[in-house]
Amino acid sequence: MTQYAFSFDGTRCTGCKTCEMACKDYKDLDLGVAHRKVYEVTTGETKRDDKGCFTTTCASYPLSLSCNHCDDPTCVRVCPTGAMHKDAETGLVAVDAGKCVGCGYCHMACPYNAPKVNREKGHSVKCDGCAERLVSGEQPVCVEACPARALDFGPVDEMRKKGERAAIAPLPEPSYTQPNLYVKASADAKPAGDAAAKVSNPLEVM
Amino acid sequence: MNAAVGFANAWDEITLVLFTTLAPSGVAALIIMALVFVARGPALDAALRVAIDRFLWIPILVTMVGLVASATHLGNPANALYVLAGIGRSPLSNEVASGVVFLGSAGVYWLTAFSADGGRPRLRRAALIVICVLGVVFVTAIAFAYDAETIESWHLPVVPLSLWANALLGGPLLALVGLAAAGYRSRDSRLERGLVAVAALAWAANVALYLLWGASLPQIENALGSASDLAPAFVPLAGVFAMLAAAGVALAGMTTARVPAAATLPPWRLSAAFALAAAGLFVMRFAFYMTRMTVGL
Repeated sequence: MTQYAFSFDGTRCTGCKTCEMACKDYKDLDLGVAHRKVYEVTTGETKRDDKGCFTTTCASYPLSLSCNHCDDPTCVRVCPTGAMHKDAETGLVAVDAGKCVGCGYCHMACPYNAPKVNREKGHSVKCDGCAERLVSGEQPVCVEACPARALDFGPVDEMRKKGERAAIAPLPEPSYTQPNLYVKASADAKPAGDAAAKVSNPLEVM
Repeated sequence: MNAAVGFANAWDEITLVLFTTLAPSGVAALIIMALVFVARGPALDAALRVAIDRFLWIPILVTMVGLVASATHLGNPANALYVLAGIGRSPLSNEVASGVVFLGSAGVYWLTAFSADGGRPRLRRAALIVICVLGVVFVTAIAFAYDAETIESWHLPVVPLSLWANALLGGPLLALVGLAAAGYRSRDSRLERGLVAVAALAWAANVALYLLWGASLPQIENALGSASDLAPAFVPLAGVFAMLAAAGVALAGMTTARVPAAATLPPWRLSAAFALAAAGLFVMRFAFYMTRMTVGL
């Protein structure tokens, strides 16, 4: 088996969201459904000292995130039907719509906000790594669309060379699910679990 | 994150709120009614034993309404049989499977209560012991159904403990309804008073657990906010629970104390007592589903 992985270069990403829109267009996703999302992360504060002088530590950085096709995916662990599964050849995590009951447990448990139940379809939906494009030798559409070339996708051994296993805020420690996302962090990125780094566009991404 | 997100979380799972309100109490009530026969054995009057057996429909119905309600939140119930594939791996499969086995066994037991001779007491007693064990397994499975390491606001000891405390509050009150409907009255009302006392103790345990839980919510946080942002009214809601459940326990206590020892207790008044407690439990199960948040996003 060749485990596939994404990489994300935080020093290149401008937060333009072309990846997200390309995915929505290619997968023809409705309003309210996105398989890749860009999280706007903000840190720091602005203070005024006794003399009235302002100083700030404020910063922000974008993080483009889809399913990380984890080595130990919690969505697969909790799924009651086995609909959520890891592909034996590629390690990509996908939903078998013929088995899914749409209970939403994958959505509740995933710490990367990846699966979601589509109520109209009656089953969970998520990023499948554009598996059909992979078969024909193409990159996932989000990777191909990125104008800054901040995203990449390929065998995990190659992606591992491009950064650390995802451990920046607002993501959790990688030990929970062993995500196949490798990140080159921007200078302002905070470590995983740092609650001082806040997602400032929750209505857009959650 | 804010209360609107928390409310949406819980509203999306409203049928699970109903299920987890009703099923634990229904199972506990069935166990208590069964224990009357298990404990007293053949000494129990045969006609009364058959009446208790037949009135097991009350806790069975309450549990079944819960389980059926929970199935309505599924996007595609046609695939439900695949749930068996996750037994042992998925806590949700464990819950569903143990619920189906429990209700199936209890249902078959109840049907056989209508046999002409009332069945063989020794066999029925053994069957009830097995059903009681299945019930304990089922309630424990409900308590741990959403225990996933990544859902930090639910991966806490207080979650399963409070669900068991819920069962021990609603269960005795519903058992009083079933026993009264069957025409059972213990000598000197010892059992009835005991059940009210258990419910009162469980009430106190619930209140203590909810206050502890409410105090811990601000410390549970991720990059989106804290669990207390999702359910800012958790402690006031626990107050609503305390009042409703206290009213239910008090009504059951007064009913038990005031009706003369030889007379049958009025099931409707006891039903109202259970309904009050169940309303309180519903409020806190709603609050529970409001607090869902993961270690990440």
